[in-house]
Amino acid sequence: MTLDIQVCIECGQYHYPSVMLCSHCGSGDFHTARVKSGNILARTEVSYQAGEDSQEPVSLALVEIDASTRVLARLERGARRADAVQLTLSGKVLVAKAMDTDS
Amino acid sequence: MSFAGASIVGAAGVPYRRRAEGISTTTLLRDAFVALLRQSGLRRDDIDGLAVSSFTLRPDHAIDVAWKFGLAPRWIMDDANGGASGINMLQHAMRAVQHGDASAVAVLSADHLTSSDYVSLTENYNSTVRDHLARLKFGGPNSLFSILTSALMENEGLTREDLGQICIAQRSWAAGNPRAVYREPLSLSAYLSAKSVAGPLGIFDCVPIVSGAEAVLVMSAERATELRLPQVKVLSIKALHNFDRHVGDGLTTGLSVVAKDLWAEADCTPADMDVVQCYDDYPVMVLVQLRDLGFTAGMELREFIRSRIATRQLPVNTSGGQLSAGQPGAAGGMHGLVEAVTQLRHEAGQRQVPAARRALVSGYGMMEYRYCLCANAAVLEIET
Repeated sequence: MTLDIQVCIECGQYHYPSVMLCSHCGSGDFHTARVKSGNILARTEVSYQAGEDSQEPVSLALVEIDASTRVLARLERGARRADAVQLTLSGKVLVAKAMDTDS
Repeated sequence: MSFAGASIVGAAGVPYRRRAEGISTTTLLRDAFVALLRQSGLRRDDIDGLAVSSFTLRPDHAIDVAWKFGLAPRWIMDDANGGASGINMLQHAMRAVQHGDASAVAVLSADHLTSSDYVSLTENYNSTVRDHLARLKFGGPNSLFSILTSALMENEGLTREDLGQICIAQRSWAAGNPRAVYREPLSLSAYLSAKSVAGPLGIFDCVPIVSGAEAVLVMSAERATELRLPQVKVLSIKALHNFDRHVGDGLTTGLSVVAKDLWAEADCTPADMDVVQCYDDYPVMVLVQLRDLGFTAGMELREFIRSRIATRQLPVNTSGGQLSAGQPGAAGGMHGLVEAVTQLRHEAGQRQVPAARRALVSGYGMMEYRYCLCANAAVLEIET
């Protein structure tokens, strides 16, 4: 599933997660924009989860989709060294995949 | 605006414990409240205001605590602002006393988090966390702060050794704090070889969760003078929450905006502070708060860590901070405040900073999507 992001009709500010009033101009009127990709700003590997004894580390990436909008996504194995990634929703989980992966 | 007319006349807490059994959040609140009464010599019925902060008190609120303590308060407050709750409650309690709505306010916080409580809290911290972060298996705030830590390291040319100096210095302060859970010295090699939690964060960069409670007593200055209680004055408090609408990099807080007013109202500068207690959920945030407040003025962060923090010339988080003393849930929001008042009262035992007269306390907390929203700070001075 593709990622639809809340965009302010008045000023064009993107919001993720969605808000009630635009963080920039205060308007309450929004539409959505389909976002397919972004650039990785940072990544981390979470090797400890409270309440769980052992498990596979989880790779996460901070992905920039425009100058003021950054999303956190699960980083798929194939995209670990990529700079640009494809963003998709897998169920309700935001996933960053390698660009050449079919969605 | 001045806080004249109200003073802090007590600060107490209970020893922090890891994996404690046979206690509850309410017994911790009671123990801290009783310790506060004992310290000040007040009777239960002298208290006419109550502020409470806790993540695990639900379904109870401050009024239920009042009932369990047999209190009949004229003023009550429930706070839910985590790492900013201590200064937030102080700000409100000082105004309530200053303007006569109450004459003696007990400000309390406690948490007894079982491991399942902790998981539930980190996954349901707010709707953003529940709906957007828990589903990633983000592992709690560690992953968000690992990203912030990497960014600050990259921007400022810091190494893990540099960040380790903060943890090591705090651990050496903790040696003098009987309430701290980790008091043995921490070596650089132990820090560097520690198990990774979320790279570059290792276990010593993350706070150990404990059960604990903190308490502060705010009273009218007139009554405190009659009772001859030592008075810690609040020279100023400033807060600014969600200052950047969450579109920034998380390496600046609202403190950067209000620092100027904070110092002007207190008629002090960072150089006038004898002790500094800043919210240490992670070492990166210690640096961010100190920088925002002007303590690093003109100095590279790396040099600041080496010359001021590692040497303990600037006494930062003299209890050991939450990194060594432990993180008692919402009571972590009062940790630095209680330590600051304890230092100014010269009751800090082996870790006492000689001749401490003034303290800076800062709060930071409430994780949203990429970093925390709340920031506040207070400048305190003991009346002599």
